[in-house]
Amino acid sequence: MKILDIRALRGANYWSNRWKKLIVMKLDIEDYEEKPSDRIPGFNERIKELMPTLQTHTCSLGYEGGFLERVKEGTYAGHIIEHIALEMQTLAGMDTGFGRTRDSDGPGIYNVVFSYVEEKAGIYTAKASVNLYLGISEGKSLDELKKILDNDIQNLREIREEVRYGPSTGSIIEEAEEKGIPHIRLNENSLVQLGYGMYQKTIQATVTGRTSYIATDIASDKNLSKKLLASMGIPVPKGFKVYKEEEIEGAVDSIGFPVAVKPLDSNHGKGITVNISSLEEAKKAFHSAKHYSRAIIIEKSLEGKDYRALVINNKLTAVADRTPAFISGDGKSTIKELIDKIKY
Amino acid sequence: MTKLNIDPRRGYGHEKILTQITIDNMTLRLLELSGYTLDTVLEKDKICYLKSTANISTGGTAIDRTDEVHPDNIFVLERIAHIIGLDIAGIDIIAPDISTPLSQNGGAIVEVNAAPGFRMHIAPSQGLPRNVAEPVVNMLFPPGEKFRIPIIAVTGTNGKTTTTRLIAHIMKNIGKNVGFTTTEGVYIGNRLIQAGDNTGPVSAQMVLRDPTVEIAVLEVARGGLLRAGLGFDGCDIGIIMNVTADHLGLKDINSLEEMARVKAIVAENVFKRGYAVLNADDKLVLKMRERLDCNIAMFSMDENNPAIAKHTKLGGIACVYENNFITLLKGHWKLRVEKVINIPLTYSGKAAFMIQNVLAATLASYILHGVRIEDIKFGLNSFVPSVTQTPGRLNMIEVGNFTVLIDFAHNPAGMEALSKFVEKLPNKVKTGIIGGTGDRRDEDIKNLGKAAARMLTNIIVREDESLRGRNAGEVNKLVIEGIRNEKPDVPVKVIEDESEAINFGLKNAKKNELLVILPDNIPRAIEIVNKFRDRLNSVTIEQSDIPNMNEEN
Repeated sequence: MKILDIRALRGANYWSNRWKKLIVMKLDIEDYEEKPSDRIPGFNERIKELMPTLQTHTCSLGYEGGFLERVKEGTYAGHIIEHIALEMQTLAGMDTGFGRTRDSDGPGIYNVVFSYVEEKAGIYTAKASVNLYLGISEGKSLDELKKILDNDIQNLREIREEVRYGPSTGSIIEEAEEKGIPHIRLNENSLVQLGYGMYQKTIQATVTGRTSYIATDIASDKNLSKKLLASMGIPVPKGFKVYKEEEIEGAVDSIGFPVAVKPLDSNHGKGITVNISSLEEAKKAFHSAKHYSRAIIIEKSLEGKDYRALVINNKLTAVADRTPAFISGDGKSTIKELIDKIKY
Repeated sequence: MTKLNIDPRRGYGHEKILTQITIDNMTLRLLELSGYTLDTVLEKDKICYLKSTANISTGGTAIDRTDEVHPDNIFVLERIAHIIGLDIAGIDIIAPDISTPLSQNGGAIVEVNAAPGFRMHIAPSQGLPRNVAEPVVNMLFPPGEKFRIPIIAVTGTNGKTTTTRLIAHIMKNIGKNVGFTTTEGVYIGNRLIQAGDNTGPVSAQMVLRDPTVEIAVLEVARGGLLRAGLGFDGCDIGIIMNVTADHLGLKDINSLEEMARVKAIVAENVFKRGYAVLNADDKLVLKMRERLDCNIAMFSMDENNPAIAKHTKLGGIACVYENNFITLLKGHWKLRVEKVINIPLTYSGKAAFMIQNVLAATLASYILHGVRIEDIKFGLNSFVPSVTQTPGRLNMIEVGNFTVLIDFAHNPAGMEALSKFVEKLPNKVKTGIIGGTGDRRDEDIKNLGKAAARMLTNIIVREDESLRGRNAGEVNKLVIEGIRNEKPDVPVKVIEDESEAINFGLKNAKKNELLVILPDNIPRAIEIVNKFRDRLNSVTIEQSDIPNMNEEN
């Protein structure tokens, strides 16, 4: 069997108007032209065992189990590969559902067409499905096949995580789509154009083309933003900006314990220590914050819950009450064991 | 409290709502501060934090409290966004309770973040998920505001490029900044942005991504459609010129019916409120109506075409050639736009195939909101087939005492249309420089030779630079076979190299001869002819040629 060509379609196409994201794989199935699935010993049983969820594929018969029935009766390599490709993507968390297999330039040559969610994953799936089909046909052991399939699924999940939009960008794209607003991805990350031509707007995750540079600059300087807010009558914790270890003691004396130590400019909570109640701890925290910023903030550590408020276009949109990851003891397990149980 | 460990929502990456927890420096530092190590056995029900911050990306959890916020706090939070100046702000607050005023409960604002993550709001571990994406989209595109520019897509076997350029020309004349794609390049206004065949999705996106473009006119060719699909998500007007034999046998498209399905993609992706503009004289194009749910407009060279008659009787819009006019039909009304004799593109009506292009362009412009009949008329009057406005499309160039005609005709239907035009020209000697394209079917290449033989008195056969899978000389053999089948005695000379063939034709052209060049490389052919012409007629102006100039000056 030879893969002659793999193409990724991204817009309305010859095969479908509705399904725009399709892989078209031109395949020469060579001697498998003489070997439909009913003539390959054990094929039917092995594919069922390997991918039991193929049971959900109705295929042209229109009811559950339809596809497996066709495998039992005998169907061709291209058609089976098409279904493996769809199921493999579903198993990797990319559920999608369009497939066609049609003959092409001569005997044994087929166009296997199936939809994808992420292009890179779709192209990987095309090759992996051919490989898995050959494994089943050539009589590899079920254990071996399971290992191949699991490996492919894990690779596909990793590809998916690498290429797909993060949750914030993804939610905006989804909302835009619902409103009929077209979008064009401008890089591999989260830079996206919404709208066409002169009406276009750009976003990069939750930064928009109209997000002010000065505002972003102020926000990233925690000391400056606190100062500005305090001067406008908004409550902020008392604190100081320090650069050297020697300055810590004076700052702590003036604020009073407990204190929090954080880099002036950091994100995702990197380098932050809260609830510090000794000078020694404060110094330790100072040094770990130093990895992220030259200037360090020491401020009053406040009692209370950690809330995040989201204000969009000057309207309060959502507030969440957040808790850091924690474990709770059972009197028997070590901390390591408790954390390990979190992973599966 | 239960352990997070067994929470089934923890998965791979963003796959599920929560993330798996990793032991990092932050975790180790926290343990150290509490006097623990990884091997400490934790007392029953004792809570141990693994991270100092609650970010979901590091394993934190979030509970939605949107509905509990005290109105005073709402005021403060919105005021903060104003003061900092962020359109999307993530404000961190530490307070005993968000449902009582911060000013009373001792809470405070810890920091303000640009680019806040949405995950904790879209998919909180507890409480109502909030669609925070909607206000972002509504801010960028307030309801009722535009987010699309009009897109006019043009496809078909022949006439796409000229129709595209003519529509772009009409739009430019009403002051619009038009982005358009053709087989010669991508243009923004009058500027060529990228030269070369640009009829695929990447070129379409180059126009749609341009922030200055007000209208897009996109030539859509078969190649790009088959390679990657349509390059935009829908169009306002989709024009289908015709479906004739060309490129058959390539990329699994073997019959005219299959080719019609390829071209129909454009019509089928017209928005419901938009218009498919169909050539009513082409059966395959007309048949596309059956699968369309958008509005339909039609054009025809024959006012009495039954499809047109039926369509307009039901109040439909059409454009026809009648009584030497380009005429719009709207129901029972006739709007005469311009006499064909006044439209340079049609060579006073001699180039019938150009009339079709005019009909399609007129119809599309008329449908587009805001284009007046006067604008269309002015556009038709001022669009001149020339090496600058329509390179390679019926360019007639006077060279000394003979005439050169450069045209891109390269398939049987194109040749047929061209030969009808050439037959109407008065020149006695008509020499042609022609060549077949390697990836076409044998019969198509032979037919090209046949059509050439019908209209020419002398033929020079050249070879394309790219043989597209054929052996050297193979295509020429087929072309000559076609010529001989049609006219056994027409003189044929073979000069493989195109530049050499053109130079030979130019040097040997006699007075009043017509030299028809069907080039492989259009810009190069135009350049050779222009160079030859410059050498021949260097312009000298005598003082006596200048009007109103006195000898004393």
